[in-house]
Amino acid sequence: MLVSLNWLKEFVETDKTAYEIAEHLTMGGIEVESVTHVGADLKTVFTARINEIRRHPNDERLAVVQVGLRDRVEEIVCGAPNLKVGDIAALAVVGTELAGGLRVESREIRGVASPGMLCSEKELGLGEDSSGILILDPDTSPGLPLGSALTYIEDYILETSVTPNRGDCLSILGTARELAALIGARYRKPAFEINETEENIDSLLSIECQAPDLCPRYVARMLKGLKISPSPFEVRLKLYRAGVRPISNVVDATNLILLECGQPLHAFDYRRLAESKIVVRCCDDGEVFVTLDGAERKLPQNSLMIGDGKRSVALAGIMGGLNSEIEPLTQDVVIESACFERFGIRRTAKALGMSTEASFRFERGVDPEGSFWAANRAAFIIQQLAGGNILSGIIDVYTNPVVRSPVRVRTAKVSGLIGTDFSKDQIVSYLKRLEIVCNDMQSGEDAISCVGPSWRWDLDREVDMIEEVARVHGFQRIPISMPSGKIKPDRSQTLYKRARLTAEIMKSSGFNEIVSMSFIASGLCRELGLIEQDEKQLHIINPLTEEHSVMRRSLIPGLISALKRNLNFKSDSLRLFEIGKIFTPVDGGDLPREDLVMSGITCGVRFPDNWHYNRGEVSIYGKVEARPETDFYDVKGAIENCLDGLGCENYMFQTSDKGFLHPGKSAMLHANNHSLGFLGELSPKKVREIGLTGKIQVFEILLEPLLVEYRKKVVFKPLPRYPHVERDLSILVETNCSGDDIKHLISRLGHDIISSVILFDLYRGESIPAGFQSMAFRIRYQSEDRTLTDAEVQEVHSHVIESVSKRFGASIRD
Amino acid sequence: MINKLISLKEETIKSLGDLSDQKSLSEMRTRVLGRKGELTTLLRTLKDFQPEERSAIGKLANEIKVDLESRFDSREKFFIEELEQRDLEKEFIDVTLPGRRHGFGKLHVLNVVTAELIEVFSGLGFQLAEGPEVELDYYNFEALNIPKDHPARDMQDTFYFSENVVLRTHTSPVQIRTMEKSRPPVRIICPGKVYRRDADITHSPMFMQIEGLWVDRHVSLADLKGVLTAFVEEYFGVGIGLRFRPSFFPFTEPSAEVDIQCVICGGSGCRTCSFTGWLEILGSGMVDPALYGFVGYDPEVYSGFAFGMGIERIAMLKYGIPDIRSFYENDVRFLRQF
Repeated sequence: MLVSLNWLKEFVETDKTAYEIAEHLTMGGIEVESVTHVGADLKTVFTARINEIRRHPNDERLAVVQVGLRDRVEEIVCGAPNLKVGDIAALAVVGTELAGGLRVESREIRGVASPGMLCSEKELGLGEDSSGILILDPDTSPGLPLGSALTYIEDYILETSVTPNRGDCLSILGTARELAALIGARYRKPAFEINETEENIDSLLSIECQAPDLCPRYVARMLKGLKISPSPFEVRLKLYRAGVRPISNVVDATNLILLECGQPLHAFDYRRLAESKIVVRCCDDGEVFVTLDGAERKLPQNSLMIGDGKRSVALAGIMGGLNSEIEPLTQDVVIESACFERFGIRRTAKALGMSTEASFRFERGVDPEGSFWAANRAAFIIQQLAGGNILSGIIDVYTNPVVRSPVRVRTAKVSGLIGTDFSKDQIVSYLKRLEIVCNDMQSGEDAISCVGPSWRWDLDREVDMIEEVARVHGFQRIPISMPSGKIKPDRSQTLYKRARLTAEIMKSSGFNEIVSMSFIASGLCRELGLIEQDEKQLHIINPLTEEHSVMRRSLIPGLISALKRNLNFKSDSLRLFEIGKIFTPVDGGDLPREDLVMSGITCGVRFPDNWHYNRGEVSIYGKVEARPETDFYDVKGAIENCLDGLGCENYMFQTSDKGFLHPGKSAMLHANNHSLGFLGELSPKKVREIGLTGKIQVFEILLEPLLVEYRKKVVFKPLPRYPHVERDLSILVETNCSGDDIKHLISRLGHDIISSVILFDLYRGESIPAGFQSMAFRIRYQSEDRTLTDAEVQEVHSHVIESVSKRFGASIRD
Repeated sequence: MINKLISLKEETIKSLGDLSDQKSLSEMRTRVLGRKGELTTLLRTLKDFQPEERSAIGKLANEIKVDLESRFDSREKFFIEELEQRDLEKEFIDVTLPGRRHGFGKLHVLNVVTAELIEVFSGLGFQLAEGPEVELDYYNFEALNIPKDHPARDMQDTFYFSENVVLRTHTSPVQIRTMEKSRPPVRIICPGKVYRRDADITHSPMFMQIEGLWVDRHVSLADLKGVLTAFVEEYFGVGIGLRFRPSFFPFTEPSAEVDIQCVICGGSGCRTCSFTGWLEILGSGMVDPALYGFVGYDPEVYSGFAFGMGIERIAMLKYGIPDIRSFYENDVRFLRQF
């Protein structure tokens, strides 16, 4: 809410500056987001009386206006339509900087010199009206700087951010009351006296409330014979600075009261109320209503309406109807000052997507005890602005008067929860500043019986009162202590730490970690083939955009879009990975399954463009490439590093049949007969479909099983005490032969004396027949309990050669 | 004989000085000290002497041998070092060229900051707790004292899957889930992704939060101040001022927002802190007793505090990042800076 300091100071006595007040409010829980000094830059704008108006000799659309200041006159060229001799206007002299940034210069306008400019509200930054020049009140003395003539122009605007529980501070009076309590100053409500006519409201109007649960109180007053006109400048400026657009005196008066005391008001044109009746009731099913902004609205069920004898005339607590609004010729008005129940207003406003000054306040609670005062205050102000007579009598339908029950507040509980000792007297003095009524308990215990004021619906529990004590005392003055308790060993981080370890390993394999959105476009996973056409996804009912409308079932789409973005910015060789959740709907369950997965994507070359690598690298497939592309084995190596680092065993890689992957360059990771995920090169067709080129590797593996289940227990193995012997085995096999199978066969034939088998060379190409490849294994022979003899090694090695030849049709190379 | 030995020694010493390389040194060593060398040859005649003379000559001969061996060794060492030195002078690489690096990635800055925060709070006695991101309305709102139609729901615009299933708008549901299945003391820290229907320079529809909860006997607002002061000192540095302002959250009472002195300008006022000198970094408060009703704790026995902060906010302050969206664009030029 925008709070004018001048206005605030009408109700609270203080010498504090705007910034000091802002600090007190902020530290008391009414956060002041900004303080703006306004109206201080109008030192060269003067009040001036229009003495004479002549037509401009060269342009009939312009006038030459003679204005009188205190001791001199000036002739100013002006094109405004509202010039009138005798009015007081605002003259900006040469050098003035106007609100729009325009600088007033002395210049000739169509041949007539004009040493200044008569300004509109808008040009002075004092309003929105630019239809004519600003006309000040007739009793304003001419020739004074605007700021001296009208002292209210210079002001500070405090922008407060009021929390949803403090609807009582959504007004100047409420803010003043709170400030007074916080700084211990005096707060005074405006005093006024109403002169009523003899005619009584009861003879002209009846009110019926059919929904007392939604409308605890409905107060009405009437005025007759008033005259609709624009409000005086001071009122317009007050509204403008509070962010409310001035309309006409009666409507402005209702808005002024709303801002002043927080009670939303509505003024009906009495003559447009059929049967001189107001009925508070719920809307008809499917009712359509035109609000005064001209919008036709289909009302949600049980919306509270204000009707006359025949039809609806206002959407209660939110906006009036077009059919009963104040018009230029309105003379008699009914002022509604009602208290509507918060949840009801909120339901309707929310369903209609509306938020008005009125609904915003009703949703946050309006003081039912204040409605009566506000009705009188409105009648008084309307009469001041628009004349007319206030009818005697008030109609007050107060079906369920608000009763605040006493709350027991124990001294020990206050001290215990806040963490510092308070005496009972201290507590009482704080609470009394907030107009909370405090009495001793009849039981004589060390406690107080407290009753909150009518405007504080949020004080119905002991803890609510404790918060008030802490707030008035000042949170800053509460001491600092550390909680005590038995500390247990922390075993809660095991999984988290293993997941971060996995990320560290990926990092050292050259992968950069990304975080992408958990929601993606609904078609993506299917288009990429990551899920089947009939697999379900979790759809968001109200997504921000279609791009973010389903929960991801794979991290691959996010990685692809990160890859594309980086390629667009000319980062060309990329290795990205992400650890995050995927979401799978569960039949019959409310919540989906959430699985932690790790996925990655690569493109471009294996080594950065660096002098070490650009001389060429011999590929295992026999070609010499200057800049080898990142391939399947780079990704597999990174995953193997993770599996190794996590201490996982019993896993294996098998060929994959994932349609979106290259059939010959992809694999599934299995562990204990469970598939944990895939890795491989994206098929050329998919690469083309996503608008990229080159070779792209992807992988996605379920992480949680690796963190939890497949964890090997480490048992120390003594270091070998006897020397090893190495023998190489070089064979020629068909290219579809699995290197892993050969290795496992050799290991199995080991008779406990083969300690390791490593494939150290693989070659296809020149001197090798088509369809074949040369593979060379280095076999290490070693025993735990003796030095092996040549004969022993030779015997096993011969057996290995024989078996490998037989099993894989391999021929031995020398 | 003695004279012969002495003159052999002197001649050898003299010619050693004239040698110019390791090869001739090695030849000379063989010639003088080898099995068929001059010294050995000379000593072969020893058997012709009287036993008493033999002993004296033998002793001298041995001394001469040891002396010459050590002279040869030191001369040889000189030649090796000289040769090495010449080689070193020829060998030269450009040490300013970049080293041979295999790719080295970076972790996402939000995960790095999360890990740092977990570490700080772990040191203060909190245990880690996590929960689902797609959550029941009950855990996300109802059990946190935010009934339907409560204006507090406006503070957190929500993504819905159905009437009662939402994307969690904060990590607070983890607090309820944890309290439901354990008895006090509960001391947990809950990091994770959260979602709100909002997108601009300071709001991302997905962002990360970390929340803490401490429930036990006799826990007070002063304790909350103590723990958060310890956190700010540990993470932002001792001497960074902080202040507690009353605020409102449906799940805490009393509630406080915590500001720290602007880490950019030190409190004198700048754009980052909107010229207030203060930066809002977290929301906190004493757990509202209404929550204990949902999890079956006795509010007369237990009290506690909770707090929560946005991880992006902390990272933005720590590194001076102006736009929250940069965290989720995944541009490697951004990612690799941290």
